[in-house]
Amino acid sequence: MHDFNGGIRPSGLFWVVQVPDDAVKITEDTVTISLMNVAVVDQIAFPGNIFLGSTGFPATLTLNMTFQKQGRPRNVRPTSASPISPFSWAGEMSDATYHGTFSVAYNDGKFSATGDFGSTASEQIFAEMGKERNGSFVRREDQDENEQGAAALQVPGQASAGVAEGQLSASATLPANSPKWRGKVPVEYLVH
Amino acid sequence: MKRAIGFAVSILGSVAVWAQAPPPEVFPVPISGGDVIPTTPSEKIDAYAPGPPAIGFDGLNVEPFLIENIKGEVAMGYTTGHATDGAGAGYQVVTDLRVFQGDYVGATSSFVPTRAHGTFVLI
Repeated sequence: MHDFNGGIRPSGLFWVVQVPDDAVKITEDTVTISLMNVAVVDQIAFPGNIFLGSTGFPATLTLNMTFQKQGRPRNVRPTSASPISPFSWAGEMSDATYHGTFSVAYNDGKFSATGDFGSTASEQIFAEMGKERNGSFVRREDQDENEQGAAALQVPGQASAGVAEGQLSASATLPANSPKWRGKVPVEYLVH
Repeated sequence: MKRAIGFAVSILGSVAVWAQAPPPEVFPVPISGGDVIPTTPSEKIDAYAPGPPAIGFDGLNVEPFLIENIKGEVAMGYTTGHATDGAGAGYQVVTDLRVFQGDYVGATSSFVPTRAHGTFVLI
């Protein structure tokens, strides 16, 4: 078994690599990614040594893949204010499919492989694409919306603070969405 | 006059050199939440697995990326496929690939919160 990934950063951010902006092309319905000779590591097994950081066999990856939007977009609103909740982000997401080709090679030349994925409907498991904002971008824009809403609703001679306060209270009473599946990682699907 | 022009050019040249200094690298910050990998001992990873619960994922509308304080385009998903190594052996491929492009607020090496633009791929 081989598990090629982008390694783990000192911050704890794992498997994520920064690439040039022009490696990704975005249109209304597609996202196309072209990576050439990106440094990765082969950690051989998953999840047995997932926490070994960037140790493993150094390798390079060349990858070409395309996401294709499917169906109508759905609006996602944050239903939790907790920073550790998986439901504290906002955006507009659509179901998607994706397919691509890749090649990997150890830096020492002892292993290499080429392959493809997602080329048939039966090879699609789940995909989505769209726009997302989280963290400070959600808090800042929600605050702006509340302030704008308060200004729009303000009656002459009436203080706006009460309106804004009421809206914030309304937000606070939104039903909390609990991460029901937290802790049940589908390990078999996370293998790279 | 010649000397004054020379001085002006020198000053402007210094400004130009100063202006060309590369901005500090802005390191993205991982999300605060995440799933727990059932290893021994169990470990939390700073990522969720969006997708239908019926096939074992965390659910729809679950945080799709791994970086906190982002605003932009995101795509993610899982597929299967096939690969062949240099010796001709075949492999089944399972992918979890995610991409984000847009603005983010990260931290410099001096731990200063800084807004930046970038493209990140989960491999």
